[in-house]
Amino acid sequence: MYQYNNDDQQLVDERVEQYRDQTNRFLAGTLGEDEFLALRLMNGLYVQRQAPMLRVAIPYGLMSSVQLRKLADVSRKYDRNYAHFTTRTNLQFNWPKLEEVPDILAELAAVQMHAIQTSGNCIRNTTTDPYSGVYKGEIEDPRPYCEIIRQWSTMHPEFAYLPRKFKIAVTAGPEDRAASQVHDIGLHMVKNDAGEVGFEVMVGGGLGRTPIIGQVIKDFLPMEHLRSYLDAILRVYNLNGRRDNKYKARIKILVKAFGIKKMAALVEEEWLGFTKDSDLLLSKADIEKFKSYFTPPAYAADAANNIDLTTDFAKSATFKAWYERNTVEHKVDGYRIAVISLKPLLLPPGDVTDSQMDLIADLADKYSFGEIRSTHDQNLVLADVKMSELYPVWEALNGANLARANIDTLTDMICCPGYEFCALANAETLPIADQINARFDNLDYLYDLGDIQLNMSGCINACGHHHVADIGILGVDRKGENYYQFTLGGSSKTDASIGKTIGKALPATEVANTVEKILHVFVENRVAEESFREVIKRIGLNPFKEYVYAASH
Amino acid sequence: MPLLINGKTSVDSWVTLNAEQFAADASALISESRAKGSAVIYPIADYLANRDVLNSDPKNTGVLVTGDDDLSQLTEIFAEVSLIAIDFPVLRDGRGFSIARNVTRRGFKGEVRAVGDVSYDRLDSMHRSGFNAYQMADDKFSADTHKAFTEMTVNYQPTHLR
Repeated sequence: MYQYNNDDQQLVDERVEQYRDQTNRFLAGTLGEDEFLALRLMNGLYVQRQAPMLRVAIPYGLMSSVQLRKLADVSRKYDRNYAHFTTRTNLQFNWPKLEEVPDILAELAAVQMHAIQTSGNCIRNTTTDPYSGVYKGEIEDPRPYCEIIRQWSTMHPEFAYLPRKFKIAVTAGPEDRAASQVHDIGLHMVKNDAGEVGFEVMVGGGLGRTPIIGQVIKDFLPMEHLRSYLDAILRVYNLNGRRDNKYKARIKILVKAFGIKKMAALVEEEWLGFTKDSDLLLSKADIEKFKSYFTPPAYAADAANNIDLTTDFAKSATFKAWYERNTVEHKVDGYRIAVISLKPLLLPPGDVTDSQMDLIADLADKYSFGEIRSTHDQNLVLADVKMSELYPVWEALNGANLARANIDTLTDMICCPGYEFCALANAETLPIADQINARFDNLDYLYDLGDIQLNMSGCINACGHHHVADIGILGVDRKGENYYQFTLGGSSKTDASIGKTIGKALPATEVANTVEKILHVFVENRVAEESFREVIKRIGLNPFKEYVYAASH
Repeated sequence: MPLLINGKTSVDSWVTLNAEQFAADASALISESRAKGSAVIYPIADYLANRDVLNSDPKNTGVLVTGDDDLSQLTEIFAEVSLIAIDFPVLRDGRGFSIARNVTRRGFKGEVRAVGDVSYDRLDSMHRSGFNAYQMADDKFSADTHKAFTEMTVNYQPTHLR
């Protein structure tokens, strides 16, 4: 993974001291509330319903065991022994003290971590495929380009006060595990007819109040122009994005207002006129330098000789289920990608305790070259586990409640923290997640259903990505009571689409019942091994609407 | 109001006219300031509307621009002015950073002055975006203000100043 040089280290160290000074001035009363708000947000600190919340950046979801242990340590020392992984692959501490945040940041800086631009109206953490570098179908490892984007966007002097937040996601090929089409910018790695690798650039996707799928602004961007083209898009957005209404300030609204043609023309004018051949142009040597940080680890040559797991399967059927559901084919024979489920029964999705973090760090050291990835659906990944060592990995995870074999099933839900933890939320999400978990804990039933994405948000801002799930649930408040609205048919993958509402919101007590009704219609209509998405595409939403809202069952 | 240039407080020799003053009696204002030999900053729309009268004294002529102004003719008047003031109407409005960047990279060599909501924690970004003068409210300015430019000594944007 990327290793800081002296400049990188100096930058985060100086940023810590700058933030410490800002905090001190705020506490001394010489820096106003409004101004400190903008400054603390740009450094990941929110003030929530019950306490401040600090969001730590995990650039493109990649961290070392040393970093994960530090996060565990911070949760012990400054928080309540746990933390929460987000859909931007970042990590949140829910109970830090505002005056201790500079000390937390100093501890993080010591292991090459920071909270820079994890909130605020600036360029946020870039996300990518959690299987980068190890997935068979990828064109190229996208992480060197993510690091290029990280550096270019970090403390960019022009783009810290954008009309609204700005998110970039990068895919490694045709498969999309980064929800790239619902990002302000989605970069899809593609190969052109000449066999050169570059990016198809999408712009103007997003969720929130106005969910929109992005549109292609450039078919093929050669890698050397990555920074210069992004710089051009951002400048056009900074100068033209709406600032009169924060709900209409994202770039998606600008793209909609201009139309993609005009948007593309303005960006092209800026790019060709100024940025393309500026110092932002990357040389081959620049790109090679970034690539050199992401070379494959020293895979064991004999790993492919020990891939028969019959004995391990015989030892435990639970291990077999975990292997089938939570591990993924690796591009090197004899290895598997192991997904650590952070969606246990009856605990908040995405949460992880200090001892779990320590354990995962130890497993990474012992079995996966000391690295861990976080995914946009709030799980963790050990990317390079020898097949012959999967059993002990599973055993250790299982002992720590980290091996629920539910990846990509109904209970592997994306879920925001909801009313309890977020000042914006209107409705609770965690008790509803529990309700669904309690109802659908039968793994055989879940496996029969196949891949289903269920996402839930506690308000219209859609941090739980409910618009792009097979089954999306949005919590709303009606005169102090929580109601839940269902959308069906969304996807964040290559065939991205925005789900459609099936009818009026339902009371909290009816959520699991409603999910059950939806699944009933699916199972009744399913032909052979059809997925939920395929059935929705074939029969539409009406059968679901009719069954869910029928007078009685 | 303190004016910061090259890390030092400077005397502000410029008079800024606002659009209302200008609308009331443009020609009287122009001839008055001419007579006094004052250096005057005009709102860009007013400058452009009276360009043929105002374009003869670059040393004493400046324009004030905001993010809402039509800036398509700004480059054309670079030789006619020696100061471009860029307004930050509120903290959250960051258009001024990109306007400054556009002005300097298109070759303007005069004073690029930040006005409006200009405060300590944004001075360095302003500097790096192309500003070289900062007009600050009295309560935002202190003897330590110059330190804002040295808090961060490394950066990742080769196109922007250090």
